[in-house]
Amino acid sequence: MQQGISLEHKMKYILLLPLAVMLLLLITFPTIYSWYLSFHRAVLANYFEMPFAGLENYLRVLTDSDFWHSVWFSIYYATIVSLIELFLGFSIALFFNRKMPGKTLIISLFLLPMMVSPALLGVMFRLLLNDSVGLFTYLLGGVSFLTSEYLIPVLIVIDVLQWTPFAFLILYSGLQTVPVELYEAAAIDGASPSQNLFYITVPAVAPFLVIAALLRWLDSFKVFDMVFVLTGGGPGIMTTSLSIYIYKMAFQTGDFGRATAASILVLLAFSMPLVAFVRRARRGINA
Amino acid sequence: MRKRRASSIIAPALRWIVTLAILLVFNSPILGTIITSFKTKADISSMPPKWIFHPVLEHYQNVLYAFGYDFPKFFQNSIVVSLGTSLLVLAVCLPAAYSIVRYDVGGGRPLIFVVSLRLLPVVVFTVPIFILFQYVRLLDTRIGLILMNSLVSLPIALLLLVGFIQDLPRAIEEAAMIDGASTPRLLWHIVLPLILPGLGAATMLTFVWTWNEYLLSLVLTLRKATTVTVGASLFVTAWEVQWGEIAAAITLSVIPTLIFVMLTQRHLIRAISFGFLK
Amino acid sequence: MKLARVVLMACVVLSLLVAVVFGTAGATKPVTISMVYWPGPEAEAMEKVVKYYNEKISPKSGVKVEMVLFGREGFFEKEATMMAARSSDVDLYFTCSYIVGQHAPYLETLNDYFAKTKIEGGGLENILPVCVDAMTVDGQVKGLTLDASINLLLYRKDLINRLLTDKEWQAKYQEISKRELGKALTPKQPTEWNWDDFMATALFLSKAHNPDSPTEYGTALQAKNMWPNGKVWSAVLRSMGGSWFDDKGKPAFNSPKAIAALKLYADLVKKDASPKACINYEYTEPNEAFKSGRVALLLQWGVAYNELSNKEVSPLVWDKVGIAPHPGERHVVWLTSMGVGVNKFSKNKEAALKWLGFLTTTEAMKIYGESGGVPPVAEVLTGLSAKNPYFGYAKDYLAKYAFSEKAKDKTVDVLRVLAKYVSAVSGGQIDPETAAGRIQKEVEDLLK
Repeated sequence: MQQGISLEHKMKYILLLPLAVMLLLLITFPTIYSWYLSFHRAVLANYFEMPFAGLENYLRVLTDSDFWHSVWFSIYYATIVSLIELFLGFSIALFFNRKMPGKTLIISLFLLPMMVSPALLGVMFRLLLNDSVGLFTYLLGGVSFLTSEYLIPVLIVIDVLQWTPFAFLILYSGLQTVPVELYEAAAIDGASPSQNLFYITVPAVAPFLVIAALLRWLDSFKVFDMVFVLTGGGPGIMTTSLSIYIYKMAFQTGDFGRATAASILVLLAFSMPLVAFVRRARRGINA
Repeated sequence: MRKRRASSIIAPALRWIVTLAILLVFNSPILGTIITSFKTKADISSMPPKWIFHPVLEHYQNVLYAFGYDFPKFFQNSIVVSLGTSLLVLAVCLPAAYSIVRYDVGGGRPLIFVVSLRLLPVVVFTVPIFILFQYVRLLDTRIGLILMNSLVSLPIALLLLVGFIQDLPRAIEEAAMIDGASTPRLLWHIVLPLILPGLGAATMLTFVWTWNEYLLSLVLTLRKATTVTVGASLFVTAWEVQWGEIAAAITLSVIPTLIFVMLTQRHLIRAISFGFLK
Repeated sequence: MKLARVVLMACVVLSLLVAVVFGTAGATKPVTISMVYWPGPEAEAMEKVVKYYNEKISPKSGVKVEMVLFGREGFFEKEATMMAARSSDVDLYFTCSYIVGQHAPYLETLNDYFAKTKIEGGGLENILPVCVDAMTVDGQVKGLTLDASINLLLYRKDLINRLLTDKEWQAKYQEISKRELGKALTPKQPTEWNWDDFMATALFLSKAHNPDSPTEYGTALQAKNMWPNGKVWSAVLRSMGGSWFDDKGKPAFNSPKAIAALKLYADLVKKDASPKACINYEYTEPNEAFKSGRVALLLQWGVAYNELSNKEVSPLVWDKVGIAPHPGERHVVWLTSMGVGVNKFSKNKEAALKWLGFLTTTEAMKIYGESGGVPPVAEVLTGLSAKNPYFGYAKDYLAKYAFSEKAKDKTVDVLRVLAKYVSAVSGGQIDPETAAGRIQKEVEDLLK
């Protein structure tokens, strides 16, 4: 009996154990290694004996205007894209949240855009938006979309097309957890549909809105494949996201020291707001 | 009365039109891809685009048999890696999420830590992981890919499961506790069925995410564990982009995910319609 | 207890020894070496050579070859990762003239092997000298060129011929060149062009300046921010008489020539002689534009000739493709040598070198050329030119015009900077003068 209680007592740690072991195995070495690289002159040419560089990598990153531009672009892009996707995803989730024949198929088809690898979709968009032979170019009246003036809006639209279903999926699952009784009670009180929406639905799915916003923001902040394939970060550095900046620094310049320094800086800068955000989100959920 | 009958016809019709429009707009890139996959090279490069053309299967044949690429193998790898990742992620996250919610271990710190992983650009980890994997012989193996992809998908799954478990009424579990059920039994027999929609969403996202993952698969495979995304990118050659072949590869690669999503989706809906939460 | 441990250790050591002995004893059976390649026409041609070797030569040499293809997207990044990790998973790396400087520390030097070993019908002297040089780093040969790719001018023969004969066209041409360039030019053969002629022709063949032009745009630049595009611009710079470095070896980008080369890109886009979307053009997009009859002139890689002159793939233009070197004060073609080098950490270096030896033979390079590659062997190129005129041009241009710029292990970095600013200038985000200044500063920083 005594043993049983202590086992139950330890259970909370035992349940966390698999996760902890996995993180320990996969994260420890790369993290230490990344910190190590960031303080060394770790370029491909002298990868075997890297001289110690102190804070040089960090200083060079912080004084690089391209770095700041990429941070700004990523924040701008992530914010706009996640706002649109949340709005559309929520609207469509509400729209689909009713009895419809063939709903499984409809929802599966709606989730389809998510199922194409962004890297490959980027390649296809090179063709579909090509100003000589592109299907979309033709359908949209022959406008050449991959020019400097339209480039950022086009990237945003592509992201929205591909990832709105993601926001939808989370919000739609969230909608399923709202108890029907709430609406029934509201109906007795004579609530209007908009009152239902703002006083019942939105508060009930608020935690899911937060989760969807957080995930979409983080992922679009890191956007890489699709933009890289489509624009290469150009023209100039106009569409260079932070991931593209780091990727080019690491693999094309071969400067792993500066690339890791840049990503550690980002992690440090964002860990504070992220902690605050997740805390608040949790409190919101618990309340 | 007549007015009501009119609206009872118009409203559903309108709803169907909107549904179709939504599906059409969001799937337009895929439709464009599918059309391209059936066109000859010359038809792909013709302007104005040919809407009526003689469909050819040449690109599918090229993808599946020609060029010396083992595409069926790539598919097999992708399926094993995606399923393996989904299972591993669930196995690790479900108990952890329960512990985080019900026992509040670490006061939310584990959750924040795992979620912040999502902020790490994968790029940064590729070189250290390559070195590590080479050392422990996980390079170019499916297990290696499963482990790394799990790392990428953990944050989403954990966050979702935490959200769903928090929504569970505590009373059910307490009742089971009083009946003397141990925590693992409780998790398996009571919590698991109750959060099936959450599990469905988490599995679906993990599967889809892993299936589409590109950068990790690119760096961590050589030839044995190559996945479909990396395999399809072989048609972006140093010179031309083989549009038709890429389009065919994309079209083929969407089929398994679509099937998987339809299966998990059905679960999701069934779980709901059984009214566990109502 | 202690004894047990000693016995255990002895057992381990013994079994290891046994394994080593048996391991070496088994080495007489053929060794399989793996060679990294990128997918595309080069790999398809090389596959034929590999097949021939594995069937005919392997029984004698005891070496079998296996090709490993990595996708083009992220190709060198993956190789870089493997090199940095001192991987021995592959025996031969794919390398190119512009990146061999970066790869050099991880590749075997080939001079000794080729000096010591007599290869019948082959050897380094069989390869065009300009292609051997392209793979030489600090006097050491680090890679073997297998394919010589050049950047040149492709043009619509039919339109140029009409321009050279049609009086009305010539009058219009004069009018446009007078208005836009300030001098009345008369049409010339593309092989005799300087950049004014190119510009005038591009403007003349653009609808914006000449509503009767059969093509919408004169040309389609490759101005995406991808470093390979830096090579095309460098060829323009060189043909205008400029170069990356001055006589003292200092970067020379803040120069009138570099500004003029940047201005050419900016003007072509600004004056609607190139599609505005060219800021997202790589190799493929200009070909699509050319195939659909939208553009008349391309600064393009020679490989494109095969696709553009293929009747099935390019039904509109296949019989109208002309070839010339880059216009300018001195005609040039940028040479990219593609080939392989031996991994320094390979466990099968001997076998890999044997295979390289075979690749230098006329026998091997003939198969390669016949399967669609452009082998760097004069004799083979001459032989092939009867069937495909491109090989004749390639041989001629390689001898007369080939050049490439290098900055030791930083060549790709310089190209990256160039591509960034070339795309910015073409997109109209920055003027050529400022861009030249920034390129100069960034390249100086790089080479510090």
